[in-house]
Amino acid sequence: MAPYPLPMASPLLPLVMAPVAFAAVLAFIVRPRSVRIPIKGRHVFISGGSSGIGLALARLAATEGARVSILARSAARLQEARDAIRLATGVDVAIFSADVRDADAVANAMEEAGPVDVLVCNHGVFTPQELEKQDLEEVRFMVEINLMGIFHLIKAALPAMKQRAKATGLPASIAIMSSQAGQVGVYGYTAYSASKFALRGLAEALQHEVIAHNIHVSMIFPPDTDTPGFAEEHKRRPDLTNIIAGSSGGMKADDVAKKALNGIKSSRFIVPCNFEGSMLSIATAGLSPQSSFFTALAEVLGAGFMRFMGLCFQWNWFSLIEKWHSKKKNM
Amino acid sequence: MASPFFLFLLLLPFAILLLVLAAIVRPRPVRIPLKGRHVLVTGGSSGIGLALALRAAAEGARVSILARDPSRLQDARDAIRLATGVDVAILAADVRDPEAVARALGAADPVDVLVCNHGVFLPQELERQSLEDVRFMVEVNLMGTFHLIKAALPAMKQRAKESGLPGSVAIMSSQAGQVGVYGYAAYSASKFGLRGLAEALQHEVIADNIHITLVFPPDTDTPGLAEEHKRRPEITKLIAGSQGCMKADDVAKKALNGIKSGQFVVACNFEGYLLYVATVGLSPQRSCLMAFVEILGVGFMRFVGLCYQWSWFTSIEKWHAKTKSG
Repeated sequence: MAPYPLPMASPLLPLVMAPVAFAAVLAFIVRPRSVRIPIKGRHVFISGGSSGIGLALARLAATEGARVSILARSAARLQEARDAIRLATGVDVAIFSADVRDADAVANAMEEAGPVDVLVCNHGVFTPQELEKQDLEEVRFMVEINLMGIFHLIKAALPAMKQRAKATGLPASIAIMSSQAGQVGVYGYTAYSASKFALRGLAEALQHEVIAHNIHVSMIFPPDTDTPGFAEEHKRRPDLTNIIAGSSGGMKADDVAKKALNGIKSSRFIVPCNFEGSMLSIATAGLSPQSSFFTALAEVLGAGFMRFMGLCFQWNWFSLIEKWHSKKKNM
Repeated sequence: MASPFFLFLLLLPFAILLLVLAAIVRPRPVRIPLKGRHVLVTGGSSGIGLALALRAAAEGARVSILARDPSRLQDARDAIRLATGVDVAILAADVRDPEAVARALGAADPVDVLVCNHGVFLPQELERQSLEDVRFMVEVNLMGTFHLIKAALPAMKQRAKESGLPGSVAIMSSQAGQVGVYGYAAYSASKFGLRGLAEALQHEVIADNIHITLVFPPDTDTPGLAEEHKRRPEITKLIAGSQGCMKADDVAKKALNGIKSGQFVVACNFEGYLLYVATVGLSPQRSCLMAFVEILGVGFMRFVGLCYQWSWFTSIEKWHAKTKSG
């Protein structure tokens, strides 16, 4: 018989119940609900698929049994990519040549390719420079390709994707390759960050619009990645951008592709590619949807500390900028 | 007798945090005077822009307003003269045209405070929206702002150097630039883009004593909003309809105060404040007190944000179920 309530338990009980209750609420509210998006035997369409991350994605998807199409501007590079993938995997990918800036060309290519199950808007260009020095043509180049180009792809693919998802009963995916520069804007990246930040606004709204059609949006946020595009970009980087961004770890295209594909298959809205990226994603989670209970928990618990880390980063960056300028003045 | 000691122990980490923040917050705080200085407001012939121009003129600034339509510009000038006795300069240009913008800014005096306030918004599901409409919003809201900054920046830097006074580039975003919701793919894209621009730009112009401010108003009672409301998809109304509406003059007041204190992010009402903390990301913060609030609040705000998304996705689900059976 224990007629008396245990005196020690009472103050502890709410202390234990509160976080458990909180976790239960969190598990209940995370939306959209998590789904598995199969790619075996399904049509995966990758823009910017003839080199860099796109090529790595195409190879990986082909290896996993997907039916792959790649889109890019240069027919020659597309053929090289097709040969490379055939050599590596034995699989033939379909190739489509179009400039994503041309809405009609994109629509034609999409029609030729047939209904898409997984649309990977991976193409992108980046030329870092101080806005004051940068030509407006270059700014426009980045916005046209990185932002409008993706609008063109989605507009062209969406109707058939909806049909397809309905007919097969399988979830589809629209994956968008962003960048860590789409999570924080730093020196030299006004136009590039603008184009990449914009993709997030697009993605958040789009997810609301297509969820009822069983289409799931994923955004991938790679760091500097070892690609031909990156080699080009590095030559042009302003000093200060190198000093600020140089500390960020670089990744191999294959590793980014692996993380990207895993994120797409688990229908994650935000897909970071490395540890730094995960931290950055927690810091910049904002009001993005989150389908994973565990990630939601990490975000809620970690956001405060990540904000502090972010402020430390900004302190570091502004100090570097200050030092660089005073050094220049003294020269 | 033990309690004050425990209280001290409890508050100590917070006090230490505040002290550390006071040391590290960047950029450093700044006051940006408006009196007697040249304030250029784009989209200044109506809505929030007109309210901004009125306020700035009333505070003794030398104001120019830029818009497309010369007759609306003249109406605005008359209205401001009537209300404040001050004459503002008017500049007619379409922000989509970089040459027209460069000409207009070249003809005007060097700018001290550039307020990129113009904007258009056409809500519609991306699947239904024409690419022309998408392009319209990106061209006006995003490229237009690039055009203005490119045109104004060189003279602004000169001016800030000569006068020794801080300059400001203020950009009117929107709560749709903090979270994307149903019907706003193109609009949110254009407004999110402005944040990437602003964060990078602050790094680039801080050494020239120019300070960036991003303003995030909610739905504001303007002619623009009346137009937009007619076109809103039902689901957008369900989701965004609950948001309170603000008066243009109140938004202008908040915006101008934020510009004068060099705040990077300016929220306009309580809801906006919560949204700003939730989406603060890696934005710079000059105030150690605000930084402190952000650190303590952002975790809970993430939770609140997830609740909002739950509510929105549930509304969307219900609406579709109703439409199917309806």
